[in-house]
Amino acid sequence: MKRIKIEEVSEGDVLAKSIVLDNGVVLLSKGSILTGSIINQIKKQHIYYVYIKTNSGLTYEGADVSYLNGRTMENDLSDIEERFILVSNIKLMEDIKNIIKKVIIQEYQG
Amino acid sequence: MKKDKFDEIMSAIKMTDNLPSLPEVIYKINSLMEDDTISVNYIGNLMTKDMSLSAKILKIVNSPFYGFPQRIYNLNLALVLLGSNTLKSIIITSSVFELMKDTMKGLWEHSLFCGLTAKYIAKQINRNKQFIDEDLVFSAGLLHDIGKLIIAIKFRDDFDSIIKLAEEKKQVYSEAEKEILDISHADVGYYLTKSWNYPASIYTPIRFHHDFMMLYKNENITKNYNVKSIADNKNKTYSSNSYIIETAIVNLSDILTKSLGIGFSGSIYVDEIKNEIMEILSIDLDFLKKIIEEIYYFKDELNVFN
Repeated sequence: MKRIKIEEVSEGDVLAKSIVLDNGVVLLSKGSILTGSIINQIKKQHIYYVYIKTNSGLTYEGADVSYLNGRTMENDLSDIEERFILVSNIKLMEDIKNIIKKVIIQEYQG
Repeated sequence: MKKDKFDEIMSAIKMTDNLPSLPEVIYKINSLMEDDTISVNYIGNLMTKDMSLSAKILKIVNSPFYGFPQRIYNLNLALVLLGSNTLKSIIITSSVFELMKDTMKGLWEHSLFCGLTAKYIAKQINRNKQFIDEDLVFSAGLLHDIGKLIIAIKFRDDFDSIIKLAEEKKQVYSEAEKEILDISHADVGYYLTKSWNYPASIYTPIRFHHDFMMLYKNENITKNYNVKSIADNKNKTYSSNSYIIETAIVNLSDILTKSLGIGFSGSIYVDEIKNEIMEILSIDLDFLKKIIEEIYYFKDELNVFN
């Protein structure tokens, strides 16, 4: 998953997160494929960013790990474990750690 | 082991006029910070004397954080759109940017991310009620570690020892700092920003960003004093001399920034978020989840000032 400016969206990109307006209305659900006219509709709503899926660019062919900026998901996840060692007995902090892990896994897996 | 550096650091603070990258125009504008009557035109005139600052402002106005529908090329229009508080926070930001970049690797990213997170949290808490000043909270978040700059510039050896100790003993920075120095970076930051005539809504969160419980106890905060009770009390506008809500937001943002591993502020280890912070901000784990899912992508925008 990647967050990009609406000007940089290409036709055929797939939404990784639904677009929800300030009033709670879902403009487009995740998984929608963006066409030229849909992209124009999004721009009219003054939305500047969308989250799109990035499957193709992320996976190294032949490898079973995902790469992003020269790092691997495994590196990032083990770094988190290290950062949280002083607060490992506190429930709130464990919960936060797990939320961050999920966000990172989601970014790698698109 | 511990060195008596208090007097030396205090005199260093008084000498920061000589710090290299705080141009004169920024001093002039800072001294106007508490004056709400100052006109945008006046600030605009001051700014046109500093071309790199004008260019930065335009870049920031056109960044996603402010999200105006059209590109803005005209400085005066930018100033009107941003308003004076946002403008002040941008001026503060550009004034410390070069200094942070040159002094300590990673501190700029940590500081900017913390400021952006603090502003975002304030916005989510405010919703339609504007009781927290989002721009001041941004500035407090951005500057919360400015004391580390002074320590790093004036006492490089001690600063390096603190970082080394924190790494070896697996400590948070402020714990290692206590073993080496008799004054904390939070106190240095407080004295520094106070001497710059910054408002208490900035220097209080800086002073207590590692000592939230001290402020909490000092102010005799009662159980029912929190964001929800303030918001429910529609007849009263929020006014706080303690700036406990702003301090809670900066403390929370600092910990979230470290949790995500953005930048580097002296130690990689994450400190605890106190329950009292969650209570006073009237937030729960679900709120934090939404915040984390959003701020995670701020990391791709940290080059706005470069």
